[in-house]
Amino acid sequence: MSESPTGQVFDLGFSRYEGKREGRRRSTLAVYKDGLRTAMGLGRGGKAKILPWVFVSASMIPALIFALIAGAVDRVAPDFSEELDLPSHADYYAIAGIILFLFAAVVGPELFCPDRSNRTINLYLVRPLRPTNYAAARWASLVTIMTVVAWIPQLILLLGLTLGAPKPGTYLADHWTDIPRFLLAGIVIAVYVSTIASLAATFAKRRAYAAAFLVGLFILTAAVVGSVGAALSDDTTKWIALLSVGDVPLYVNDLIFGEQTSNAEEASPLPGVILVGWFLIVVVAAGALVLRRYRKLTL
Amino acid sequence: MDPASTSPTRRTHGDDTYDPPVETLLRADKLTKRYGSVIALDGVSFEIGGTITGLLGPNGAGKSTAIKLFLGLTEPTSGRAEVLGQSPTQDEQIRARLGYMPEHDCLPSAVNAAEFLKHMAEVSGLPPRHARVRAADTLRHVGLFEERYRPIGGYSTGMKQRVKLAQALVHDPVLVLLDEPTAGLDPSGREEMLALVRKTHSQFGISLVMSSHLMGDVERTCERILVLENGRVVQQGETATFTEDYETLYIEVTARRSELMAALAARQIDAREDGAAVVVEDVAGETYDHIRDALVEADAPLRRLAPRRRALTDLFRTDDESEKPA
Amino acid sequence: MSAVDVPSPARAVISVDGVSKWFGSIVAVSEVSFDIHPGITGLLGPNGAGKTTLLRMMTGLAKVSQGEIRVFDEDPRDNPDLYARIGIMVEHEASYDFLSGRAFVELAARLRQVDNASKAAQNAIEQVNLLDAADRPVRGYSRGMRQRIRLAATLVHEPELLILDEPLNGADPRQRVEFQELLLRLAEQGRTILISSHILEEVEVLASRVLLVVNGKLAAKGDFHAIRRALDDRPYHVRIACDRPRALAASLIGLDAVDSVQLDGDNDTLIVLSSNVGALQAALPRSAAEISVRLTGVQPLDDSLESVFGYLVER
Repeated sequence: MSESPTGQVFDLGFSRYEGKREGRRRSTLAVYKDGLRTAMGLGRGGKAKILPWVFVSASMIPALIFALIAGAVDRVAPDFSEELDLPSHADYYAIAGIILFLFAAVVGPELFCPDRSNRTINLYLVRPLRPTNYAAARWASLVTIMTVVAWIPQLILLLGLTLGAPKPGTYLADHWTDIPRFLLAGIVIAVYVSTIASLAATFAKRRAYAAAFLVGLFILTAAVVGSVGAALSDDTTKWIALLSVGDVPLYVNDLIFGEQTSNAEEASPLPGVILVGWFLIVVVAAGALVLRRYRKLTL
Repeated sequence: MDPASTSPTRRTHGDDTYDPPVETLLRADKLTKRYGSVIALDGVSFEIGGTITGLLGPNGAGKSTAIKLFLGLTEPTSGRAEVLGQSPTQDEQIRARLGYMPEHDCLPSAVNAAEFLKHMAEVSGLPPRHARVRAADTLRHVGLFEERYRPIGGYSTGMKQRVKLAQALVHDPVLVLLDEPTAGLDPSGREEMLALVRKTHSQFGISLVMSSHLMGDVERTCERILVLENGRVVQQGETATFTEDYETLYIEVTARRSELMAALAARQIDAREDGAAVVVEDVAGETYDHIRDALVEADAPLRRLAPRRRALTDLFRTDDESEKPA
Repeated sequence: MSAVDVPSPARAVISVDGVSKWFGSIVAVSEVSFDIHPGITGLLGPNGAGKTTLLRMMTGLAKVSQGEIRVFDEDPRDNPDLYARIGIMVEHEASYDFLSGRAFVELAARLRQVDNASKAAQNAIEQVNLLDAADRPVRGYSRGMRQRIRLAATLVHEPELLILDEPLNGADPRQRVEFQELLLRLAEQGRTILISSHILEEVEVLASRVLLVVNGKLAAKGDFHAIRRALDDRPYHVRIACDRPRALAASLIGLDAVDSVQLDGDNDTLIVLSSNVGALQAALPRSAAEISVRLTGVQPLDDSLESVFGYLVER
């Protein structure tokens, strides 16, 4: 018995989507993941990768240098290392914090400004998430990157100091408290620079304006505080010093480590509560302004 | 006289029965939106259903305001705007069932279409694996193939419009709002986009609302129209009723027009000349045969025989150029 | 409303002779020749075909690589005095947002040394129907209003030649109708208008002549019905409505002039393909009369500017 040959034609037409629709959480997560890719230039061609990866490298250089010095000194002249005042985890952000600030100033606007200037934001506004979710997700992307970039050098430094020590095991046992401290300080400074950068990027029309504004703010407030502080009494100066934008997280850093790093000193006489409180006020106020601006956006 | 009331819409001619769309997707109920002292929408009521609807009106008529209200981007001052029976401002999740294709540029330039579309699908709530597959399918349906792996910045206007449409479709919405979808496209691109719009409804089963200034676009794609002016509804109904034939017949011949006029007169048919055509009023039944015979008698080559059609642009003519029906 | 054809004087307003333009190895315009006379001429073509380059050369903004362009029998290049006779409206123009509409048009008038700029501005603004908004800053105007005020600025010095590139961007339907009426009035006054647009159904109504540019070359010029006739490798499609479609179809297929007949079940009509449409037109009433078929509709399907454009672009 022969059977007639069969054939099938498959419908390649548009199909209905019967799968899950996951709500705001998925939407926000998607914006967050996209933020990570945008900031680091992934999937966006070679040119977009230059700045972020240059900054990542730059942030590691001081740590590498210090780690090498620490290791070398201990090998070459062990007696010397006691006298040499090598940079420690506590000092690190005082020295390298500027790089983090610049990184946020350059990469932060990348996360907020282009979507508004080329009006891609409209495509987000009509999707099932709130504009504040979008802004928060972008902020979170920036904080994530800043935290990683803040931690890596500290980890490198830790590695260097540990391996460079005559007895690495003893070194770690003696200094293990450094680890939670620098992790926390890293988060503090990451959150701070991210929020300030997000604020500038939220109100600036172009990336370049935001970056320029941030750098200018940093330098200007430091200069003003420096010159004014010199003229006034210490009692007044310690309050005015809070206005130096770049120093605010460093005071918190000092509190975490319990020692004073050379740069940020004018306000250190103030009680810890004030210093931490001021940090929180600045971060929360900046964040609130960002959310408020985005809440008001429409097509 | 108030066209915004819930009574049937006003028509300029034809019978007065108004049948609302079968399934209502968008509903405005005495919807008002005021910006300070400016009244953008003034107590409008209408329903939009499962079809292609043209949203027409002069600049400043309230069309963009209506779109923003249905997308939940702003609150009504009074009245209600409903999407699938729900208020879009109360729950933004209803936006997952809508799509929007803006008129202006809105695409990033460094990303490629495939990644961008997958991202947009995820932002619409689709899990990543499904998002990727639907993105690929949607790009195929709008006609973007290898180009999808190149950065959007290098695309032509036509390709960018397709990406804009794709992001409005990728999450399988129930209805898509289009704002001037053929803006900037050359004639072939325009025809392709309109074909895509029709295909979106006829093959994908997605309803559309198209806001456009080009009546040609609307006549070619929209089954229904809604006309706003000064924040009020001034017309609504099936496109066909606004493009109905008049009962006047236009006859175009390429030669021997005077012989035709004579042959018509001999058959007691009242005809006049109007531009390139010979015009006969109130043609019905046997008159067609007499006209045919007159053409034979005059040996006049027949180029066109057609009733004068109303065009949508007639809705906007302020002078008395648009004929009144018999 | 039909397009106006004014008898042309001996010398063309714009004459383009063997013009080519290249940018390195890219040939944007290739050996194009045509004349433009008073009346409305449409300049059409796909995006990237070279229209904008041509317009730039005609207005003296770009140099010709080869060939010659003469406007009012002068070289438009480096010829600022010529601008007194030309009004140009192109896509991306900066406008002075902070000025009122009136001030903007008056400025345009003064730049072209019009006597009594304020009166000229008033007239121009009246022509585009923007009197009530004239004293508000342009910044607050809608898209359609901006286009109209720019048009007023283009008309304020009453130029004999108008070159308009997509002037109706963003205009709503009423504005489009008013604009068409304005252009027809201007053409009746004897002016020369060259309009480049993608909206073919509007160009069809306005322009008595068209120029179609494809890939940098002039694919066709003239009256589009005549162009259509010249495309004799394309059979005409004609839709016929009657009371007995099948019977008429059987009769028509016997004619030499008919290439094929298709029955359209959706609306009970025939679509006839004919390579000799003149013969078809002559034979149709007779064929119907011979078998007593009632003809209720005859509609040429591809005698429109849009169809002509489609055929020419495809070639």
